[in-house]
Amino acid sequence: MKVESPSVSVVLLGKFRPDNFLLDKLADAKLISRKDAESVSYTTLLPGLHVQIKLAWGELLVLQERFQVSTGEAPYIRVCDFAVKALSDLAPDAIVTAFGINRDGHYDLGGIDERNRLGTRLAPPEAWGSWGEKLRKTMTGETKGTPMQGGVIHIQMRLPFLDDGITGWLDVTTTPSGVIANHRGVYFRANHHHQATPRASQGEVVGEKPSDITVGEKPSDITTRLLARLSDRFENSIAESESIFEAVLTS
Amino acid sequence: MNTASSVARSTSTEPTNFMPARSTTLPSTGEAAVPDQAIANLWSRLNVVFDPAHDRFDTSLKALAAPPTFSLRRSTDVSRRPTSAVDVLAEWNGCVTGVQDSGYSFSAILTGIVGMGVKGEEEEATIPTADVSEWDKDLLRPGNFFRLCVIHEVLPTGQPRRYTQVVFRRLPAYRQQDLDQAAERGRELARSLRVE
Repeated sequence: MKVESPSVSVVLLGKFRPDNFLLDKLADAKLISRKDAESVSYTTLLPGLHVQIKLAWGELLVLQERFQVSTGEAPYIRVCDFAVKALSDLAPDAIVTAFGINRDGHYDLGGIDERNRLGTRLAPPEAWGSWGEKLRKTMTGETKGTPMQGGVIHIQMRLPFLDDGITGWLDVTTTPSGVIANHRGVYFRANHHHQATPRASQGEVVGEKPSDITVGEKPSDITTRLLARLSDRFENSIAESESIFEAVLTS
Repeated sequence: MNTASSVARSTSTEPTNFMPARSTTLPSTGEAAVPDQAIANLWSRLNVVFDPAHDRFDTSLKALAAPPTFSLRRSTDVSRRPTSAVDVLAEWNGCVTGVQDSGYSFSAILTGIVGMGVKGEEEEATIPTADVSEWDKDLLRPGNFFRLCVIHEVLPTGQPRRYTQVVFRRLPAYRQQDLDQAAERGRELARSLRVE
């Protein structure tokens, strides 16, 4: 299914030095080519605080507590490669405490009736009592497709997970699309959030039972573990999000 | 319903449901409505808008209940311009096996990862060097990995087009500990082998 304004991003939370990711340093580490470094420019540069660069294929944003790479162009693996290489090769002292793999896009359903069918399927007005009857009425007659039509404007579903020392969730959100004209579109966004649960290192067990173990893993080890998980999970996560969007649209 | 939403329910006025459709809205009272306040203030001074459509209409109570690992967007975000509809028909993972002496093409082994009839397939291919962008040319060497995408796009004018895109992967350098771990795994594997 075709998607408009698709976007894929990786967002990492932790501690970063924005000055580690200046254009010259990115080129020296071969994250971007020297020619690329000469042709692109900073969107925002506040030394030590904020680096934002519009790359040929995406965008980089680094704050002291946030590292974000995004793109609207396939192959999406570039954002993952960029994040992992930048943090491994350029900033080995960076600390990562959580990351999210994000996928979003706008889908054209073809008309207001189709979008209303999807909306009422996901959030039946009948579930809202007599107010739901009022909502349903606005979807027909002269209010249909006007700003006076009521209905669902935001649905978010969450599936949490706990997997080998990493917890998180997959959130999928849908709203009407403001990009696709004539009330025909819906917007989907998935946030696959991962964060580490501290793991005791060997020799640092602080209790007798596993449940007593709450400290021990170094921040650098957590960072390594999270980056490894990001590499392992990235493409499956994107594929899963896309298949969820399509299942909602076609079921 | 999470705690933040529960608090919001009793103390806030939610946006009315006939608000114009919003494109890149973030949850209003949900899991991560706003970034860290310091970042928000900084962005405000820089005239970088966290989500203008959202902020303008949101009168609900905002709370930060979970770390926001979804991406933040700028006011000049691409989604606010006329855009194309794109579909990745196929994506192949490629490994360069050789570069022709003439320099006009290179050979590669391709493994399908996305697309009907493509996923899991393996092919040998000869690809024109002209398909490689100028900034990736220095990566065109045997052993290097790339992605080859077949993309179908409908431009805002309605004109469809189909094209392939070759992008070389820029992977992290091997660290000594990675090499040590790989050597150890190799030794374990060798120890477990039996020759009869």
